[in-house]
Amino acid sequence: MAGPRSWWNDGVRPMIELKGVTKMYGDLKAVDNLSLQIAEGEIFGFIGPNGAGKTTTIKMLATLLVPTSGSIRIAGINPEEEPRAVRSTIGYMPDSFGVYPDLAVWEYLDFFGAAYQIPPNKRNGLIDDVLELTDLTAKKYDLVEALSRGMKQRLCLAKTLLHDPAILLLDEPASGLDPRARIEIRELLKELKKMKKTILISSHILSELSDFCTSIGIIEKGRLIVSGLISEIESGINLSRPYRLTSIDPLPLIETFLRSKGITQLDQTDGFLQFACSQNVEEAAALLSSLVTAGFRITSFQPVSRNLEDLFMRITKGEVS
Amino acid sequence: MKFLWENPLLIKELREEVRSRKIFFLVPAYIAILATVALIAVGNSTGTGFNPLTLAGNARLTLFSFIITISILLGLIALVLGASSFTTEREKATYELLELTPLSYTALVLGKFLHAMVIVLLILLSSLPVISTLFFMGGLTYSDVFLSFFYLLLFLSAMTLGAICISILANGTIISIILALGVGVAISILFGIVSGSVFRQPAQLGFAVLSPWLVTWQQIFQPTSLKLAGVIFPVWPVYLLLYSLLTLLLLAWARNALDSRKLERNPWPRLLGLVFVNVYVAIGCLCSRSYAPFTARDLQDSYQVLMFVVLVSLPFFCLGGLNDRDRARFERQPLLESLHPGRLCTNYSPTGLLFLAVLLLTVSINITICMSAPWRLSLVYFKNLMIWILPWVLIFAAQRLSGAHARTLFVTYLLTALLCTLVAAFRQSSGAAKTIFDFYLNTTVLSILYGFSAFYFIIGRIHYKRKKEPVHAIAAN
Repeated sequence: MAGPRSWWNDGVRPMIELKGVTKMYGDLKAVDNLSLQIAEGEIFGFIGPNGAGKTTTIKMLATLLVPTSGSIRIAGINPEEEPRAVRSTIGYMPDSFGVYPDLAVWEYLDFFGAAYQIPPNKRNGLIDDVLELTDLTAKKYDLVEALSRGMKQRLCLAKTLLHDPAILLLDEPASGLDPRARIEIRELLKELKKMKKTILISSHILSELSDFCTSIGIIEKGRLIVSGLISEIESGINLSRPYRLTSIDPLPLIETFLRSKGITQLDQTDGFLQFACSQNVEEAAALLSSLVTAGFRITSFQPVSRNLEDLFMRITKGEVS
Repeated sequence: MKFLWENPLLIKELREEVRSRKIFFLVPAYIAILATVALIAVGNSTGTGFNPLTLAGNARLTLFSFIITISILLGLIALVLGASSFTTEREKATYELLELTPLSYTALVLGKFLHAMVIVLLILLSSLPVISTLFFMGGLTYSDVFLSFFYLLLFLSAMTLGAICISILANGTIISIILALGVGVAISILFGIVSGSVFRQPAQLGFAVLSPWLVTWQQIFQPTSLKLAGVIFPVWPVYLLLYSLLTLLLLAWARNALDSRKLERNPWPRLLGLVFVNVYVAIGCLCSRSYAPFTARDLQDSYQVLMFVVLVSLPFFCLGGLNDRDRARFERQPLLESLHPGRLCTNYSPTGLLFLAVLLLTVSINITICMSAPWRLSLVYFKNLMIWILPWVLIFAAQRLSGAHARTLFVTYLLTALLCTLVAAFRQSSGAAKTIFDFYLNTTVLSILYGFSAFYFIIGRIHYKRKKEPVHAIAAN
């Protein structure tokens, strides 16, 4: 399995760096000897089942918790020694957050803008910008209590972006949202990716992350099982690749043929045959060639794109701490 | 001062407050109660004929009734506003967002405090038209009204900050409000008792000067000055000094309590606490000496009050959060950490009992100097105090070592103190005890206390040895 990546070798500045971080709650080890580096501009997907230690890790990065042992650096700053400097650098969106219902949307943002010490003459322009980015301009003068849950989520994201943080820590940003709001948040995150922010995003809904994450880390029982680029992890754990074919000829015959060639994990559903083949495309091409040579009339032969769910299920055992 | 009025939290709180309905109901209800008090007072003042002296006397009495009514009403409002300040943020899940802004903990506490005080001040100002009717009756000066409000506002600011401190510690708003009201009532009763003692013994004025009702009563009916070592002072600067110190102390303490992760070690609460207690004791003793020369009884009384205060506050000196690293350090070297001179004045709970020892030592020296008492006699009472405190120190140290939670420490303390009191009461049922020292410092009670401390110490060491290995393993990481 792939271990923690060493960015300093690539000459890329690590924006988030954890070394041997452990967090205990009494006798419970919530995070266990976690080491991780996330480079500038990277979108890092933090994946794990509920209770795996994702939120605890993010809270330690956000200066809300102190690790029991190990060290953390955010943009080179130690959060234990300079918590306020770290707070100015990061934008944190918790998984469950509250709002001030009696404030108007612009007042809510104005309050956080003032708290982040943005000068009053710049604040109004910035509020307009983040409202436009989060598609809330039309709701600027509405009371927060009148917003839907999806809008409140976007408002919280707008608040997180207000002081233009270099690092975003997003803990389950789309949890509890309906499909439309979920898609809207995903589009917003793609916009942030274009803005070259360093983002650590946690989720247990993997389809949310697969579109835009440059790398991922999988955590289970408080331990980081694997981290790195998705392709690196795939090759590191030597996964076979699923293929799918359709044919005019009966599929049971083709299945028997493929079994004779040593292919396993065959499955016939809805008029096509799915099977596991090697990662190597040349081997897949040779298999197709042998099928055609054997006289089978193949109408389609294509790799099935694997998603993060497959990867996650292969790597984890489904245990939680 | 600009940073105070531009505090973002204050602006946000006021925006929310003016949109809530409660303020629109609160002010009319408050004015209605005051108007009722005024009507009753004026109704009583109209006799069979017009007598300016009677009317002037009634004006003073009515103003005092107003001050009592306002202190109860605004006291309740201030307590509720303070007690719900941080608990509602936690309940609404907005506290984390607030905490992650670069606003300092002091700015957060100040924002909540100023919000409550602005509301209290606005309500107080709304009562001025009702109060101004008293001037038609004569007998009052502007300084009577101004100083009465001044005393009241300083008292309310300390009450509000106290309620904010409770709100920081409490889990829920309801619990916080109940606790704050309980503490408010207890303090009011204490002030009532202390104020009453001044009428019997004017020498006690120095200790009773913290009571807003006493100083208001004196200002309205019988303007008195404070005599300290023969020098006469007006009451208001002394009152201002004590309440300013108390307010700063509570502010510093609240700021530290809000930093639950102890990321910043702040020495101000302990330093301000040391200064406040010593200034208060010095004022009380100097005032007492101005009325009558020193007697051994005065010194004994002072030490008994000190013992009572220590008895009530003892657990608070060893409670307080430790972060994981502090705990690992303490469990490695408990004795050295408890006696660490560098951390004596910071908010580091293992050195709390050492700080208490320093506090008692400075107060003892203070009492002896201010009363011009013989050092030898003072030493005897100080020794008595130490004999009583030492077993508690051992009990708390033993429990800390066993990794006991703060709540366990507190319950152990309450149960042991209760047992000691029951045994002492049983033993002294014949009425032999005349002082607190006689009551507690007898062989049976001390045997129980020292026996308990030895028991806890042995149990604590056993627990500590059991837990030692995993703690060291974590620290090594």
